Amino acid sequence: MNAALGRGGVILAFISALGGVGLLGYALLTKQRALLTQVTRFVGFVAAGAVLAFAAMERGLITRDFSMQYVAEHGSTRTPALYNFTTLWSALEGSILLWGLILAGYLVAVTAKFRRRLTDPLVGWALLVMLVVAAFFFGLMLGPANPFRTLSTVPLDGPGPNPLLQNHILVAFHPPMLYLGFVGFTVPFAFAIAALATGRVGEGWLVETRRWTLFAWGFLSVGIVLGAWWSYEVLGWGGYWMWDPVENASFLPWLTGTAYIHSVMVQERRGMLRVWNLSLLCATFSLTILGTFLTRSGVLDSVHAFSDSTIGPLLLGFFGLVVLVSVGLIGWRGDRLRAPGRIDSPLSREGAFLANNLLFAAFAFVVLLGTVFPLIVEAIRGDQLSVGEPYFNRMTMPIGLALLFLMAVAPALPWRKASTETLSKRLIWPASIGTAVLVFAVAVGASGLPTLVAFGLGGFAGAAALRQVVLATRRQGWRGLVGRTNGGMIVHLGIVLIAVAFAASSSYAHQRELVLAPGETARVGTHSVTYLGMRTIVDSAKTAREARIRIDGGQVYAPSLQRFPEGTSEVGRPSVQSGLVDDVYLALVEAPANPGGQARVRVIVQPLVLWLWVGGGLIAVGSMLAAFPGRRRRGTEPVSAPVTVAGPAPTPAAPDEVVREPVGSSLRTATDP
Amino acid sequence: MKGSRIALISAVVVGVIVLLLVIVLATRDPAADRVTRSPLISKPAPPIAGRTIEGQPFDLSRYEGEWVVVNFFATWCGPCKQEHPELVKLAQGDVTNVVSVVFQDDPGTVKAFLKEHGGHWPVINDPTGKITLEYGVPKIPESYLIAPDGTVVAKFISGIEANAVTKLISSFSGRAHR
Amino acid sequence: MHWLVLGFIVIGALIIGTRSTGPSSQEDKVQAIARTIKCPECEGQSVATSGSASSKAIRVDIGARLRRGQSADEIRDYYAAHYGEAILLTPARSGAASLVWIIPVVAIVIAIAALAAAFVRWRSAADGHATDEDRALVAAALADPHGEGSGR
Repeated sequence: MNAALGRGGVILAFISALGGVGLLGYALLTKQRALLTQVTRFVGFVAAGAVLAFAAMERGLITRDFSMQYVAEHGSTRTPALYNFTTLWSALEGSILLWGLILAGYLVAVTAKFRRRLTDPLVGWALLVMLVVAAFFFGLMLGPANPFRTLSTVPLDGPGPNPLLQNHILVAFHPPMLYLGFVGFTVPFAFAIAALATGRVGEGWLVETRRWTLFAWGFLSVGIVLGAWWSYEVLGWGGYWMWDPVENASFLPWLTGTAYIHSVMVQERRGMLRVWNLSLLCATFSLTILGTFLTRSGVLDSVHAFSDSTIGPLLLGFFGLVVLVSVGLIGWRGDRLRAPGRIDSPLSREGAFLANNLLFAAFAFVVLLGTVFPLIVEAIRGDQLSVGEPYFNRMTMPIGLALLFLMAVAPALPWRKASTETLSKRLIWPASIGTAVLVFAVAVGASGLPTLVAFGLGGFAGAAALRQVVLATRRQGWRGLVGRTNGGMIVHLGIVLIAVAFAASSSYAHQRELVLAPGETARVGTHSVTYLGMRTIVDSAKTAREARIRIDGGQVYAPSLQRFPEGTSEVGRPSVQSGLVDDVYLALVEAPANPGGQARVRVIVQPLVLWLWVGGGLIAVGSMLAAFPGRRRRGTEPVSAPVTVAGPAPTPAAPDEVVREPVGSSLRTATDP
Repeated sequence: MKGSRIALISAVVVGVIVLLLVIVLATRDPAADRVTRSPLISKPAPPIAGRTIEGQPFDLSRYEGEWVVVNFFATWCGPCKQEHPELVKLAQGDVTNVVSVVFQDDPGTVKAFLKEHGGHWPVINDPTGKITLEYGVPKIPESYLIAPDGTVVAKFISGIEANAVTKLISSFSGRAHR
Repeated sequence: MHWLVLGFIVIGALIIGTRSTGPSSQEDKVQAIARTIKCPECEGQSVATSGSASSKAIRVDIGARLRRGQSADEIRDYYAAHYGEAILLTPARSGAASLVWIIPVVAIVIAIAALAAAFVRWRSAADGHATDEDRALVAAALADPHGEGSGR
């Protein structure tokens, strides 16, 4: 029953998506603009099908319908309700289903937002692109990633989801957030393709999609931070980021997306960098597809590879198609994309954005190269090598430091050209605070050149962002906190926190593996740990052997080894004492054979880890503030629809008129009309 | 126009690079099926000197001029138990000697295991894992075939088959005689 | 003036901060090497973080080799010779593997050079007068209602 319903939903969504593509394609090619409004029905059916399929799968999971292969392989009667619900995205087929549902949601949202402008070919093309993507993903669910396969012999129970995916609450938030980000980039990508297809490559489509892009970017950022947090809390090796291919796969679109949300401001103000911005959007979207391929096809080793399947070639083909179409369109429209402007001085806001983009592009290139390099070498030379954490850390560290420096200087730079006096005046306080942070770090015993530089630049950049927020709120009251520039400064603060916490925690970690008898105490760094004894806890899903460990004579923590009935080996579950200054991370390596025996415990003391998650929270808040609706102009009013003009038409504004010299502060320049 | 030419050229370059990347990715085997070629192949076999679980001294050089299979195993490893009958078959035949190295296991348990499942070849204890590291064993069970001249000629992972080893040896010997 | 003072303080702090590194402990040295060696039997983890049997053996072995006076590179070379190059998480600095280090640096240098060249061109163009091509471009931009400034 559930399987049939779900299958029906997938088929409905797939056919409606194809139908929508057909309708839009026909209407756009024959220029029957009235017909374009009919797309709402198709979008409605795609959404209905997606919701039906999702509901059917959840119903199957909740009612433990083991006649469904997916439930039989990943569900279990013993799994607690929450993790039973999240089982939907604990394996490949369900993840694709979640992807489809979110994409359908974005389709509905775009259709609703642009409901009065559906006859505009730009919107028509954008919806067409989104429907093509939807048809691809629902097509996957009809073929190799079918979540609704049934079993002829119905088992009585299933193994439950992967043990690592059912012992932490973050499993309920990290994948949906990440997917909201991944899938969200479909919207600006669709509008970029639409702009290329219609030839309306002006700035209208940018303004229309900038809030969508911000939402997608915010979700992706939060999704990545939550993923790092999940790794830290669950995987038991004390780290949160190891440049694993799957982590890189989520990080790559973030890098190009971040480059885009900066460089798009140059295009909005100066009309430059059109090709570059379109390329960044296309790259971001195609990298989400490539990332899904790397994660799901099993070509790369990964600690996060929870499933292999046969959808690899299809995803790869789709990736190739997306890139070829984007590149082809950009090449074809090259003549219209020529930028009319130029940049007067490298020492200007736009110059800083250019440098920012260079660095982000280099960052993305290093990460992509490092990720696929072993495969390339294997293809050429036939033997293998590995590219791991030390490579990525070493190569990205200088880029990261340069980005921190830019974050400090760029907000103080005016558009067009800066004089050294204004710059010196605006930067002296942030620089002093950065210096103070550095001196403080040295005073409390920090060492190591890159780490110290990171601290100093972090203070510098943080103070620069704070200065902007303070100036803006002083002038505009609460409005000084909303809008892209001001929200962006809050995001900067979050990034600075993450950068400083990353530098500190990776440079000053103390790791010890202790063998302790009950009652024995050992010191790690400035902390003492006392092993009290073992305790066994049995619940419906698992049996946990906990080592009870008292930290600094205070609270008792209980890292454990958990055995799930179907699992062959035990899964470690670390326990962490989080603090403002440092974290004490406990992982049980080996439980004693007899109750009075010695336990082997890994203890890791890392400073400032907590601030990574605080930074993630600030990014979320800042993204929301940045997307907060203010008074805005509308970019593509119907007036900007294609009209053939014989002579020179009256132009609303020459680009330079928009640029005002920032008086006192450059805060308002980017946000205000 | 100049702008359009640059856009076109970069578009073509990017397209070609991505196409190459897609081809490379499309022709890769899944990571799980990939086998690392051992750097020891056609190199002199690392020496094995130590004590067997019975306490007798052992040195691999005693097999100079003969074929040897050096097997790495432990009783806690499922596939090792599965391949054990194949090793017994090899040891009973007269083409090759068999030597086992214990990988992080208790000698007592190993003795009990051999008593139950048969096996009368030298089993060397490797408490520090030194021999295992010398042979670069990533994951047991794993076996190396060593030729009479003392070079490693083949590596068998995740379970050895007696027939495959015999066939391999006869193919080498045939070549040597010709 | 302020900047000069700040500069001196920063340099001073950096000198003190980078000089005061005490001798690192044996365990830290082992960890530093272990972080660059891949756990042979697991996927993508380093020997430093993995709890697998072979990782433990390798950590112990690294310690023993350090005590015998071997350098970090000698130890890494040993593992590469016995397990294959794929055991090293940092690709070699010679041969085809070194490309992974060189290509990004070259690419960044080229990109910076291109950007600098663009600035130089823009600057020289700023002094010059409009060419016919520029005028045609302006006319085209003005004539194109969907281009620059549309909707403003």
